[in-house]
Amino acid sequence: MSLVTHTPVPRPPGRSGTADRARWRDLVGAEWIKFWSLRSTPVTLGVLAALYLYLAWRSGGQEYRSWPHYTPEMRDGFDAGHTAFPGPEWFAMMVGAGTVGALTVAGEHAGGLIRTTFTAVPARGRVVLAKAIVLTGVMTVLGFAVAVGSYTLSQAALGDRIPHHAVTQPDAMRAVAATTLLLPLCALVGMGLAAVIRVTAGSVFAVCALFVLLPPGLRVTGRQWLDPVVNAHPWFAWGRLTGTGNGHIVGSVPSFTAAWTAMAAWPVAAVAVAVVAMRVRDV
Amino acid sequence: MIEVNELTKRYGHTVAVDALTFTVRPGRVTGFLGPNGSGKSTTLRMLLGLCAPTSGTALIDGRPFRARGVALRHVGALLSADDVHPGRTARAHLAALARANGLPRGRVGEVLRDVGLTEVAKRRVGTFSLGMKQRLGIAAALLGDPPVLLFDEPVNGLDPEGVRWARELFRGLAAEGRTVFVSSHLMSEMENTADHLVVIADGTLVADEPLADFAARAGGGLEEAFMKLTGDRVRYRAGEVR
Repeated sequence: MSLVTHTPVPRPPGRSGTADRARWRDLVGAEWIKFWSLRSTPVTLGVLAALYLYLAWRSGGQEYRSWPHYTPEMRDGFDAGHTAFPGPEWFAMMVGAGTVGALTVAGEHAGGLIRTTFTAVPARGRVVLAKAIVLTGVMTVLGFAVAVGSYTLSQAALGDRIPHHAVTQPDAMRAVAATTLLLPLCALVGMGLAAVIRVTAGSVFAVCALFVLLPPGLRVTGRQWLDPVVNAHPWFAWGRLTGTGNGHIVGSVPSFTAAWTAMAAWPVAAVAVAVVAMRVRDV
Repeated sequence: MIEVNELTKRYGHTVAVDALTFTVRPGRVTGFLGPNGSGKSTTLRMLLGLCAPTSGTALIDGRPFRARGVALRHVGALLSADDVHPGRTARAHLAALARANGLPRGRVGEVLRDVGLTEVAKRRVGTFSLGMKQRLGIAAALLGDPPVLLFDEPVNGLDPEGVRWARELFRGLAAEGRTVFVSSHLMSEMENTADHLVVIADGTLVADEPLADFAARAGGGLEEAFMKLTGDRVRYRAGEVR
């Protein structure tokens, strides 16, 4: 490594005045740089997108092969939304998106970068909100691409054997919109968990527990009084909104309004928790 | 100028910093000395708003640190060489800091050159040696060309040439009229770098005086004076159970 003797640092222009206000454009720009400058981030997002496009194609293909064996009732109950967005397979997407969100905060705590960050920008609340803005933007774009792509591919896989259900149908658009929102929701919830837990492994475990272990654990026969809580879980709310079928719903489901409300409340609550946790605690 | 007034930090029953009062003036290098666990790093963290004081105040140029929205133009700090993300390149790390503070992009290249890391700017920080990470931390502190600079153990891991470079850097920054506050355990290095000393032990102030006066106390130089004045108040000592 070569050594350079220190030369006096020239004063940057405009250093006097009110230059110490944290500007949103700059903070979001900084978080944008941080988000994309970790090699694992684009790789994770790319793998998730490719995987779910494939899963949608495969899911459509399974329906295509099964169709001749379906009874008329089963054919009548065909659900294009759940074919494109098969619930159990989407647990991994929720964990993936949640982990990406968690790492934006846990990654800063892991080494101590958070101290450098807050030494440069004492306005901690704005730093957290800038992170949330970047996460929301990136994950919404990814969510929309995956949602439209998955739906289109699953429809294409139906071939000429199964009646198609255009993406422009209101219930198909609802499924696409809900799926678009699911990704930023999971990412922001992951960020909120990490803001409280701080440790990477603990945050990722919490994401898994919340998104994967909790849903089957919650839905237990004999605890119907718990239904409003269960229905507010992102996976159940999203599952309700992605359904386009007209048959056999078993057990309690939320109304569409309740499902949309839950999907809106989760990210808002998560960001609020993150802002408070990061503002008040020593680092 | 740094003003610390009756600054106190308690963790449960442990008092890390106990009613500490001192002032760090511009135009000279002030050394911050104390045994391990004496409260140096906690004091620096309170100065930088990273942890909240139990009581007392810590002001930099008359304002609490967290009263500012962005700070790099006012205060530059290196607390630990590990306060970086190992997966990011040196350039990306500095670029994000510069961007957050609205600093011109060109500053990143300038400070990388100043600390001698231009050639490794595109390498991930995880591959850096401790000395290289120290240089990166110093680069971050210099980004905003601030009037106040804080360094916690900045020469740890630097090679002899790097130690000399850092010494000249700190003295040069002070000569330009800046406030330079440097903690260290290396007495000989402090003797060559600092003009003034703030010495603490067990979280309380032991001395706040010119280095020459402090060193004269034991008649045998800085190390002797330090051992004499803090020797009975060392929290962690090898081969001893407390």
